[in-house]
Amino acid sequence: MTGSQLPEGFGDLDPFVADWALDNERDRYLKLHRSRIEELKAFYDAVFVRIDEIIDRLNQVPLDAFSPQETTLMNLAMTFAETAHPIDLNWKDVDFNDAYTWEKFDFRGVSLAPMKESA
Amino acid sequence: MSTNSITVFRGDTAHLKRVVSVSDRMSPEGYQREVESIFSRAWLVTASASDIPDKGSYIVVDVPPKKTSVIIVRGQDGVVRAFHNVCRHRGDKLIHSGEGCKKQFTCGFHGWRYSTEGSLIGVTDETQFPGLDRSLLGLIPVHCEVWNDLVFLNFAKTPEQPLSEWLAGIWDEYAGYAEGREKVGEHRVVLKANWNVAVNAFCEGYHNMYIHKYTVPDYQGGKSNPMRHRAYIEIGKRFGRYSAHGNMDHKRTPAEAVLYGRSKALFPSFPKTDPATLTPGINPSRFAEWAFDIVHLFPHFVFNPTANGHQYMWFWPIDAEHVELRVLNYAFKARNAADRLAQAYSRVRLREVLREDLATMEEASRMISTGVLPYLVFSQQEMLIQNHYTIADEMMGRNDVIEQSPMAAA
Repeated sequence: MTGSQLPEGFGDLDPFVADWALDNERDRYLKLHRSRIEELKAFYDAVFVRIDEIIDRLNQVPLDAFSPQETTLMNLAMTFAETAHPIDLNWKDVDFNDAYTWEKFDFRGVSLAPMKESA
Repeated sequence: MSTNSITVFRGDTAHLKRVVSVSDRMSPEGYQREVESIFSRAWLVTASASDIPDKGSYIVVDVPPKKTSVIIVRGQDGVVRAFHNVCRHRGDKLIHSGEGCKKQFTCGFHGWRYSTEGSLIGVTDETQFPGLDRSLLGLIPVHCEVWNDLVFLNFAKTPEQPLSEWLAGIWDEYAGYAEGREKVGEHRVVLKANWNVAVNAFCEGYHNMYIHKYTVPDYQGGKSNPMRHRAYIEIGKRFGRYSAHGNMDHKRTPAEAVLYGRSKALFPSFPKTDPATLTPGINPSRFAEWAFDIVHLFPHFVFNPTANGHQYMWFWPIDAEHVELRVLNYAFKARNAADRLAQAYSRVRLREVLREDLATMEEASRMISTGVLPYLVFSQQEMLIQNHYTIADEMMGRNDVIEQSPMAAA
């Protein structure tokens, strides 16, 4: 597929790349809390049905050897992993009652860093 | 001990205080007494040794109750040392923040240089300090000992006991637990809450049916243990620990099922684990349906090992009514994308559980500090909290008399 930002065979997920292919935990957290549950559900539904294929594809490559397209696909899958819980747990909103104020949560070190290979 | 429960209790539980007056600890005077009697004398977990793996690796850590910043550094000789983060010349902060790896430390103010072992090795324009004795001007050390992956500091002039004695009961039990693990999350939150209230919330599981109903509705207990009693509770001289009972009928949510199915189970899925594969201190009673342990290292630190990961939580008091929570999450080292995704899923579930825990603390602190409650009462399932205040009172020489105690003495 020409012009795709993702590896061959995953071009149908291109519409999600700009908003959801995020490379660190804080950005995924901010995206989660700034989305409506309907938007989150649409992203979850699109990725969930492909997640096994995504893992099959990315598991073929060492973590430190991803191409730019593979990195983008990995970031999309990582955002899925980190924003799946409200859908998984059938929440009515992206956050739950009585949660500690999400804005006060601070991210450091590895939670700010793009994915790197294991030491 | 009469108890209708699966809980196995171990240690000297007879001396524990079950009814404790707490509100005055939240006054500035009460807090000052804690700083002097506890934080200035205790061995304090301050950093993870895996953050300073190489010769010259250092990390800068704020220690709020001592109002100081320390440099913890692995010297060229491989020994881990700690120093107050201050230049001996004019008192500027030697390293402003962060971590890294250096052969020497250079002050940004006038360029004084120190070795990674703390010696003053270079003074700019030294002839202008006639007769200067550099050997008297090394960095100011803080007593520092390493236990497994944890770096402990002691701010006393002379510690009252070595760390091995402070950790009596668990000293030999945790060898190797951090091997094969990597850091996957680092979070901080400053709360308007008292540090005692904050650390207490992580020392019991009595709350989890109520507080954690949104994030992890079915992770503990199960049909055989509906009240989710701890499987094991142990009281030590300067620690308390418990093992939680995993729900063997835990229903994995859809993403949890697929991500852990492609990798290894992490929180809130608890795999059946052969106890023989665990270091003796982890799941110490070898409970078959084990979920995780909580190890409270008095005063302010909680270690939370599970089968495939662990978590460190610091509750550093800033003052009587503010606490800084620092959380580090670790998991087995990722071999591939599937492992990385499993790590990511678990760090978020843990983070959201934490946000449920935090939600109670500010209001509880505010209400307790009004002084309207003459005391707090703690159940047997909250024995680590009983232990927390019993140790605190022993160190402060405090022996409150509770009038008309609502609970029988132990």
